[in-house]
Amino acid sequence: MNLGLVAVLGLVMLAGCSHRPTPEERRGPFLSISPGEETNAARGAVPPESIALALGGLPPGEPTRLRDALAQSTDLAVRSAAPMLFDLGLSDDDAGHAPDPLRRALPDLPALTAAANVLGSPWSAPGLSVRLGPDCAADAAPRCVPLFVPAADREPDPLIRRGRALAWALANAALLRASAGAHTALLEALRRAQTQPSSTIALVFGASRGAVDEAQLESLRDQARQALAHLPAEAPQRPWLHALSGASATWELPIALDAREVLVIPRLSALARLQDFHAEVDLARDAGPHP
Amino acid sequence: MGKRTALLCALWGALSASCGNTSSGSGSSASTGPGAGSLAGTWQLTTTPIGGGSSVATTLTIGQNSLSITSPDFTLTATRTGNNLNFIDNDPPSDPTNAASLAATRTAATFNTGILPFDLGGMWTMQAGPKGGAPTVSCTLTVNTAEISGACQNLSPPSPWFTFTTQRVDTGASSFGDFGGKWTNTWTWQGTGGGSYPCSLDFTGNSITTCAGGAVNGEVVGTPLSGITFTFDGANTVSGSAQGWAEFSATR
Repeated sequence: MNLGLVAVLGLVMLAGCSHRPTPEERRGPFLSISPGEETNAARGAVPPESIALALGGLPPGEPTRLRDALAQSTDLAVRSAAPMLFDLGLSDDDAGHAPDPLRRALPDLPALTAAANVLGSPWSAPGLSVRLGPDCAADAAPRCVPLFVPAADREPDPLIRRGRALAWALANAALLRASAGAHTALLEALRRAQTQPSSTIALVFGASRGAVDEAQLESLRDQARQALAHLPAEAPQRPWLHALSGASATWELPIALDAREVLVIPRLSALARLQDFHAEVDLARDAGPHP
Repeated sequence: MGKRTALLCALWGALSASCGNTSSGSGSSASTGPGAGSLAGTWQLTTTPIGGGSSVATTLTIGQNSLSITSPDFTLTATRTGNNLNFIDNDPPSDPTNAASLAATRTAATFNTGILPFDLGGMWTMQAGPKGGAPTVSCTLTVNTAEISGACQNLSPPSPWFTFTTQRVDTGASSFGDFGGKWTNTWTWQGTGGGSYPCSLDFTGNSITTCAGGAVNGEVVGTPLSGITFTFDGANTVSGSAQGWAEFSATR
């Protein structure tokens, strides 16, 4: 089916915050924003390091859950490709529309999208370039703004607004501060929230760097390789499965967090409802012991 | 094709919304910024393809009855003069010999599209195909306040493609004008392997939400309208998801 045309026709037819600012206001990092050339941006590959960062920003058991979803999805694909060899238990009417087990991995996709953006500096789009740095001193960019500011979504300067939108993951993140005793509980509450399909939270970090459990990761890499072997060459999920198959265990954020800070990054799909994101963060924050 | 489908599904959602400024921990209120009260303007759109993968920046310019999209994967321009509408799609942009076009004519009727700067009401007939070549698809569309329905068929060789009906089941306040409220859409793929797929559409406030569902293994199945969420913050940002997998956000 010509789905692009269907979508065009559909188009024609129906045509912070609990980013409660930190008690001690941070000075950096900063975003340097410059007008760029009006060239068209190219679609890039999924950076392998973003997979490790995504897994680092998800709950600890997520690699195993993702592996299981991948395994079931691959099994279904194999069975669907050879229906004569397997009893699928499906009627002719619904055989082509069986639920995809990979849907259980949906909360991971916003995390992968956000992680790729977190590591994307310098970000570029037609007519715009944005760089993350510790300060503004060495950069002659026309605009240089703090990364963490309250109510960034109400920025009146279009260049800054577009620049922050390009660096959307970090530029809309909530930076929380918790006491040593409340830090772990806050992380756990946020991670319980983020795995809900309706959550606005993509990633949660309690430290600047870390490592994913190597045994879990190896099992996940192996399952991703098996899934790739059964996917058509043009399958849209191949890029991130390929990146998953080569993911490293260690990850590191491009900004520093101290031992009391927690960084919460929203989903791309939630950027027009940041009030819901901050409300969700507040709810998780209030659910744990108070700092 | 899946990437463009996700983008255009997102755009379908994006061509609907309202005004109200977002602020921390509160709902929408006053409009701000250029063109508030309308989606008209130049938007920087970030999308992820169905099934995951890297996001990409696309430029989208919406005018009164005009639309242009510049993406790494394709360009699309739509212009309307009177009751005539023309789309030209270059896929990829570097290959104009691979262009497709759509031409539509309308018998007008009243339909308030709210902040959507497109006059859609009435009965439309459309033909689409390779640019400069014979049309390969023919469609009809009716848009009024009680029902939105349409049908498309392939022309060479002649065969039915799909039909849909969308009936209002409830009215509601929405920045999308006469779209406001709840509708039930039934999408029918015709021919071998076809079927009918009902889907609820909810236009409330600044948001659109459609029935759950979406792509399977990266491919659209059932109704192409499932799994869409869309929110306009009333100022300069829209965001949501399409087909249950792809995410999008745009800033004006």
